[in-house]
Amino acid sequence: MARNTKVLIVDDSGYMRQVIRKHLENKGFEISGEAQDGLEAIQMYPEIQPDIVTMDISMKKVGGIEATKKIKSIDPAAKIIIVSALGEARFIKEAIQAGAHDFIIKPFAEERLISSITNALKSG
Amino acid sequence: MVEVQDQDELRIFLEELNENLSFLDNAIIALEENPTNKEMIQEIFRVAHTVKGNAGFLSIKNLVDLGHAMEEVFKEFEKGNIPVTSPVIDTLLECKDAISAIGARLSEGTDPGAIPVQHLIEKVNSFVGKGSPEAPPSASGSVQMSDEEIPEYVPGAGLIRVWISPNEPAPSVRAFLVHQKINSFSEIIRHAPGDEELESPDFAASERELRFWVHTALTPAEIPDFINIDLIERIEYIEEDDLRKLNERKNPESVVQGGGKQQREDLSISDTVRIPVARLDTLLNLVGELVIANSGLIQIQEYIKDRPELADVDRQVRDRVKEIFRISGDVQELVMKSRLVPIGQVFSRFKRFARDYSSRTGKKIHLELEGEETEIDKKIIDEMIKPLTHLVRNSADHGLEDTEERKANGKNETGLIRLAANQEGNYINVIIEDDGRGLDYNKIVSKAISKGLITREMAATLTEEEAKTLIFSPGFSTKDTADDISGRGIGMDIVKRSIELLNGTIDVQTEKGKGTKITVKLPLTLAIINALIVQVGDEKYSVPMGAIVETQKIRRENILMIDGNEMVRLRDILIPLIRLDKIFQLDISKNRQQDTYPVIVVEYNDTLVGLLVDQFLTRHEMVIKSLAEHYRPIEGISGASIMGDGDIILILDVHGIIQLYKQLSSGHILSENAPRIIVSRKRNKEQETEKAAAQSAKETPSTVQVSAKPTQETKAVREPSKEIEKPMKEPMEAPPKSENDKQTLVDEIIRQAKTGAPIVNIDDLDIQEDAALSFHKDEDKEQSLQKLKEIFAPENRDMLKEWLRQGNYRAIHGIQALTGTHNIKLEKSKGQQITVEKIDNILDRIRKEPGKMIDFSLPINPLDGAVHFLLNEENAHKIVKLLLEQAGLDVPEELEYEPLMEVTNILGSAYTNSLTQITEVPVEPGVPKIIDDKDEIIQHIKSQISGPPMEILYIENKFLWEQEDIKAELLILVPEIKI
Repeated sequence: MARNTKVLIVDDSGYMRQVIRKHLENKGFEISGEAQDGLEAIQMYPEIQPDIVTMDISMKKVGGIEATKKIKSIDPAAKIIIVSALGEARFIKEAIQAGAHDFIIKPFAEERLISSITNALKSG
Repeated sequence: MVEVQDQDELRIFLEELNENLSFLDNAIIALEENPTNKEMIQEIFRVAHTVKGNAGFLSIKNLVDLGHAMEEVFKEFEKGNIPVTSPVIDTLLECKDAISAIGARLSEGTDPGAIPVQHLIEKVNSFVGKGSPEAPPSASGSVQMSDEEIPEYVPGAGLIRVWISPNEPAPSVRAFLVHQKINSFSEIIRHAPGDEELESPDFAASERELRFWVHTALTPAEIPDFINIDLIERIEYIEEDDLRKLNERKNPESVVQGGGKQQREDLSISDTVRIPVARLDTLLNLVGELVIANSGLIQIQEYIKDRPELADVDRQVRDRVKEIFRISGDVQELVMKSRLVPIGQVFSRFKRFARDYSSRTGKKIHLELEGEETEIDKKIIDEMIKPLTHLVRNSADHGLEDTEERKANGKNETGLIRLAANQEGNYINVIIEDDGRGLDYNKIVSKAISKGLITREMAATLTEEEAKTLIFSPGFSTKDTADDISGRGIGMDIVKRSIELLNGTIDVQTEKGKGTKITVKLPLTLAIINALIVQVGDEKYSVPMGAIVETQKIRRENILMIDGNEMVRLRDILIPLIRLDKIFQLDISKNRQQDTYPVIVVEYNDTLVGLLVDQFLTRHEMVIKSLAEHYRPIEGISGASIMGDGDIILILDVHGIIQLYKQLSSGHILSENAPRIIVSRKRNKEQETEKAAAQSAKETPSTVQVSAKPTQETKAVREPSKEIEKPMKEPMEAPPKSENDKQTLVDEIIRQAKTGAPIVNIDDLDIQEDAALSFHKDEDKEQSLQKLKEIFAPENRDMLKEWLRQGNYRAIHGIQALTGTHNIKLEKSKGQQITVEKIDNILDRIRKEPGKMIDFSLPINPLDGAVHFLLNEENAHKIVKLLLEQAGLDVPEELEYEPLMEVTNILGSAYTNSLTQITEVPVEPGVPKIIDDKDEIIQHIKSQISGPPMEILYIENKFLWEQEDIKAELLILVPEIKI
């Protein structure tokens, strides 16, 4: 399943993007792009047409909630997984309302990331 | 230790961390200047958030927690819930520093967990108004529903049950997500937990099962596919019919209840809670009570231990008692520990102070903090803020030189102030040190002279050590004018007093040109004091070490009588000597035959006094328990402590004792404006008083009064010596009492008159308790009654005398304590045993007495005896006048009996208590009754003696109060006892 699954990583921390990329590449996912803020993500989304977006919440310029809303409006079938910290519960809920498929709490284990993406890909 | 497999990963992490740190550093300070900049706030929040998020991957827990705490503050800033103030900024800067330290450890490969952050987190949370950071949910939180528990039936609805994986760190968000998913394919009628619980930040780990009562078109098999998300353990669907049937079978009634309430038991709360200190205080007191209650058990055990048939019970009780002691000890310790907070909470305030001070004065200051994690009682920290602020200001103002001066002296131009804390046993040392100019003794001394604190002559004999203490004198300040930064401050005298009130001490070490180091030693907790235990009579007291200046053995001949007060020579000064047995009206007939006496020299508010005791016993660290709930507040006692064996020891309140002494002493020795009596080799005119005092001390060695054995013959003990009254030409006045004091005394008189509570001291209570306890044993009872009988036997006149002697002693001391004066004395006391026939003579005399006679009669319980306190109207008036005048009240024309009730109580209980002490028969005075009609009095007494045979004791007392005689008769009736 991982083969040919395109992932867009949205996070303002280069370190975090590195971590997510490493985990996903280990499982054979293809990282189609990295965006360091919501605006970049919105711009990249139509070009890349990713199967999965991992989305940070607090970022410069445009944050994760805003970006989720925008992307869902461009593509209602977009699978967005929020990757955020525990303290962000309120914002994660907002993102869920905005249409995020699932969320992952930082820090996470590799399996967590993989199983969340796998579940998302399975669901209609 | 953080495990990093990928060095590259760590490198990137650290690079980013450093970037973020330098951003934070600038941004936080910029925010202080521009506190309303929302963008800035959001930006800082984002960076803190990133730091936290990244740290999570490396499992750097302290960094995650710290980042989280910081985030919370910025959230609140953004919402405008808390203002951007300098304390918050200070704290945030401290957090940033801690993050740097963590980063530094990471890059050098040592454990970043060694950097303490908890105190910072708590501090940050205190601004946010939060107890603790969100606790990670525990993995064991999963709660499975038992088979017996049948979910409620909601008409028309099927039930979807969803179990969230215990691995979900955010169950509440997961629940929200599940709700969203279910909502997308069905109509949710109701769900549990409800919205409120789901929204609550406390929605917790243990509540893993979610129930959704839904209308749905989906088949049970289709439902899980529509909730296709991670971290869900199990999904079940119960169709409406099945649910109804289940409910009917298990619990017929519940079916009709459409909208029952959710049970909350399954909801857990977070790991930590905030507890008000007051509640901890209460808890501590309760532990104390537990110990006291347990000592009651010991007494029961004492009672059963001699009974062979109860041997088994005895052993069991003993084991339980031990166990309770152990447990209550543990609880006590735990409660005490939970009151401790890191002192860094206060220290960090001074960073800001140093910053401000530097910018305003141009003095460069480096503030060095050390031992901020040292924990100390919350209450003490609160009380220490002011004194500490003053000391740091002093260092900055007076200690540190100007930059120019420092340069000229070859010092680093940045002055150093070091604030350090460390623990030493049950004490915390707080050190305030600077590398400034040090104290200038000459300057201090000349200042003290100019302020009139000492004379030039005295200055000449001062040692450096003594000069140093001058800075603590009231009104002393080394700077003439107040400046706008330090203000006048509260003064070193107040600093010292505040510290002493906390049972702490302050010490100054200084070296000219090098700096000053002030060490404040504070008890770890207010609830523990280090104390010296002393013996006075049969009682033990503890004296807080903080109040003790020194201990001395004083020779009998060094005790002098001056102005009616005992004084003792302490090197070059004379200090008042307070006999604790007099203050507390103790019987010290034993133990007083020595040539030397142990004296504790205590200081309060610059007053030095000596406390004369019988013996120094031991030093002990004790847990203070407030007395107020059990006893009325006792003057001179600040609390009680329970010893390991359950013994209760009263803790002396030195200040209270000095106050009490001021009330009792006949002179002005301790009145507010009294000069310190200093015996000096050189004298001048100003020292006339001292001269006289010293002179009289020299001339009148014969007035030394040490024989405290209270007998009728030593009634002159408290009389001021005639010889030395003359050289002291000062008017003899009782120290003025404040309005407050008057009111308290009046209230006390009235209150006690109403309640009938005896004023007699707590030691008397003990006696009664002991006696009552022993009375349970038949053989003891028999023995006691035997003694009671014997006391009236002709061959035991000594016992009877002893009874009267002790009774008189207690009576006069009680009255002196009540009136607050030693001016009233028992001039003459004549006691005689009389026969029933002879009582007629007395009754006759009553009948012939001019004017009214008043009889206050006090039943002696439980013997059916009585104490009659007989006064004629004139004497009653005198006593009432004495009482009211001493209390500072107007004396009404009409005779008021109420104040007399108190005197009756005192006299009655004085004799009954003494009787108990001698015979061990537990008698106590009942409620007094007043009769003021002669015929009735006679009839009343006659009826009492007409029953079973009575032993009758008739006492004629003559009190002397200012030239006036007051005659009072006592008739004590004790029934003859058959054994």
